[in-house]
Amino acid sequence: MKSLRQYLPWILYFVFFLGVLAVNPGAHYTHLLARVIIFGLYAVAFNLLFGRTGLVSFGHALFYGIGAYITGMLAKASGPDLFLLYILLGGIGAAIVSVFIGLLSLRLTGMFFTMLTLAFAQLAWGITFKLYNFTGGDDGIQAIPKPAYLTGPVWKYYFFSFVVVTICVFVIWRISRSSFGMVLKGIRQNPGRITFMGLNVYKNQLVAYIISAFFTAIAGGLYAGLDGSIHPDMLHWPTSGNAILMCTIGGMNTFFGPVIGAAILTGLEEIVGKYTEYWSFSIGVVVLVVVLLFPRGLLGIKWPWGRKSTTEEKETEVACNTGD
Amino acid sequence: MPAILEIKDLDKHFGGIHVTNHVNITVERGEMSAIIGPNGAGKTTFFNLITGSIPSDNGRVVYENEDITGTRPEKIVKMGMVRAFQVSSLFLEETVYDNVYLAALSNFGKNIGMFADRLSYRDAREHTEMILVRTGMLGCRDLKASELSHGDQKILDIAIALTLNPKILLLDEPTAGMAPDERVKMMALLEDLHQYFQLTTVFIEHDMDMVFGIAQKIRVLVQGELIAEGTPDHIRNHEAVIEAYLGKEVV
Amino acid sequence: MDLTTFVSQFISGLSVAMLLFLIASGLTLIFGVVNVLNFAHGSFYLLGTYFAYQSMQFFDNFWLGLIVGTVCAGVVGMIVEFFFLKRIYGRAEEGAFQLLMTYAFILILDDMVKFIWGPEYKTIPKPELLAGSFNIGSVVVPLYTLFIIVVGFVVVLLAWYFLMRTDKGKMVRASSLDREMLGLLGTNVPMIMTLVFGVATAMGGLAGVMAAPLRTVTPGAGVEVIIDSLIVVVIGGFGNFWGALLGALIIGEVLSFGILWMPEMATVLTFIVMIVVLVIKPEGLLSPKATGRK
Repeated sequence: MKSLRQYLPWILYFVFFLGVLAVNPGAHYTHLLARVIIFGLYAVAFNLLFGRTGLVSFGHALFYGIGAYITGMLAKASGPDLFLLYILLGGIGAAIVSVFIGLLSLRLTGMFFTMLTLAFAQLAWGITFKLYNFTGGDDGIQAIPKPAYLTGPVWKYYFFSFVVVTICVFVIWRISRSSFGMVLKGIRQNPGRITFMGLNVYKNQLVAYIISAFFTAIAGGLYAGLDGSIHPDMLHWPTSGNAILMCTIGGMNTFFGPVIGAAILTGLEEIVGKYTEYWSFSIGVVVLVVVLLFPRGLLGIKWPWGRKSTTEEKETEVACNTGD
Repeated sequence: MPAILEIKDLDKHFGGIHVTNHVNITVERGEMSAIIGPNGAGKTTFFNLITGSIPSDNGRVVYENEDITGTRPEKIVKMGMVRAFQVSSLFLEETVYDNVYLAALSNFGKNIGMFADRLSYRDAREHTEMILVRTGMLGCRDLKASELSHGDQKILDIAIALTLNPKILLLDEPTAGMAPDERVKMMALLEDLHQYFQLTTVFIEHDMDMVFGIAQKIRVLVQGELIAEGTPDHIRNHEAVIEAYLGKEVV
Repeated sequence: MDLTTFVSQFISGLSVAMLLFLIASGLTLIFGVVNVLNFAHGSFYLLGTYFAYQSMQFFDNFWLGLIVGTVCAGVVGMIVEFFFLKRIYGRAEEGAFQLLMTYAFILILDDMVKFIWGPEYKTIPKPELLAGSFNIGSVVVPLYTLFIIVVGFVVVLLAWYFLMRTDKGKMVRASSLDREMLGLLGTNVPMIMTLVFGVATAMGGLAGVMAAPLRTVTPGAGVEVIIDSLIVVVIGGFGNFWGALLGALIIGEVLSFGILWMPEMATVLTFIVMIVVLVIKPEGLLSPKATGRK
């Protein structure tokens, strides 16, 4: 029973994202779902840092952008045959950059950490924006080629993204459930105690930061192939903000919450965007409602059919030490 | 008896206040001792200094014949000098079991595993259960730390420290804020742990029943200065100590 | 660079600095007293601009627009604080929720501006009284630049006088130090917080109106200005009034001279300044406490 509950989210995940292919919703919606799943990876990767470790980075657009630009520029420059390798190189590039930024910014706590990550990302955005010859500046880079097996109908790229994302999400899921993941959870709740358990908070945070940056860049690289274009907005701070929004709307203390958040954010943009260009207003309202009424996010709500909370048992439990 | 911990000429100022004033202490292996002193005597600061939480201005801390002055706190913990806190320092959203288990992972160096399920380490699991049994916490292993009574939280805090296989255990007011019956229980627990693990234990305490009940040696800190040191009988009749305590109350 | 260019660039940098200071001092006041980092502060700058624009459509008077923009921005600020922000004070992980809520207000307020006034550029002309310029030696100083610098200094002096020399100001300063104590003394702390929020957002609105004749008025102006102001507050020190002034002067001049030196990279330079300060002295140039460092 316990193992079924543990894998239920995964079953739902496969049923939904593969079932969609069977239904064949048409090019437009397949493209939309590809965005959901890529943003889903971005959000899950970000949440390893945000919900898990308790570090509010406001600069993850940097890693997302590095992934997108490395993948896109390599494909543009040397042909798309090794597309998968380029995505991987994007991840590695972001991981290398994250070591330097992490070493500097993790020395700071709270709002100072947040501001420093923002500054680094904005710096990269500014440079990308201005280096016209290299990055295409404001216009970005268009017509990024895809390998032959991914061109043609959108579902091909959707399926490709699904496979890559699922592998990445699975790895992050394993990490969350590992002893390292448990240490990260401990750091969020009580970093001082982690120190006095003989563990180095800074080192563990740094490793989490690098892992998060790596998978964030994978998501960015996938996105570069989806639209075949990259642009400096991918490095701009609203992209960083979106990660925070997705995790909070979905539930930052749950593993799959960020995927739900990604679906809601993308869906809102799509549905509201159909009727009006003021969809960011509606996202603002949703965030406001979530913050005020469901601070634990949609997956964090105590649904009536959810698992029994231990708090309810408290009443009947005798103080545990009186038995001896 | 050989010394496990030697503190030599330890000194600390906060602004103009001399919170630790050239303190010299030698802790012998296996001793059960208390540090007492009026509020603001610098007792917790003293613990913070020797465990590496804050840097000292002057002086040396020698542990197991090794100079550990300026060593990072997590390294000192790994060397076997472990502390528990005055306000229990727990992972409130986690279960009692997980609180202890996390410490066990650290103890066995299994905290770096990234792909295996966190519960797949048998040595850590067995160690956790042993500690839970020893501290009487097994019955509430699945309760969240936030759901425990104040007294049980203090015991869990000590259980975490114990899991780290300490050679010397530093306890900051183990009975702070406890009801009388909880104090008695804590006293019994500490005596049991001291005997069972042959554990060197140094505790800060205000409760004199506890201090004179279980400590073999008592040290008195007043305004950052070690004014007396000795057996309970010696301290009971020590003039400077009586003056420090009574004098304060008279004023 | 000859002296004339240098001086005129310096003076123009001062006016940029004073605008930044008006916004950043509000930001830092809110942080110091209400303990909120108001990411939506740029949106109040934006509201100030557009309320003034609307007022000028009706009455064609810059000075009336200045008052309308300032007051309306402050009123909206108080509404936001009273009905929304108040409800998350003291919550666990408050920092993340503050970030989210103020971020939500950026999305909401900026989109509302776009909805009401449209996405296209608007212009607010300089008032006729300040249209001219005068010379200092060979340096030409526009009167409007001087006006901004003077208003900036007046606000500094007023704020300093209020905070340091009046009873109300002492209360405000105290509420940033010890809220519980003030509550026990019978001070209405929640009301002080709402008022401070109102005053601070009004200052943002004022900056928005004053900057309008110099820049293009678009719905995207708010987010541009909040980034610069955050940099100012960070390098001066969170909650530090004089730090905000120093930070504004540094960033104002960096922007002003950066455009001469490497026009492409002026904004990039400000981020570099912020990174250098955060790495070397994270608590900010003028804050003594090492709050941010591990």
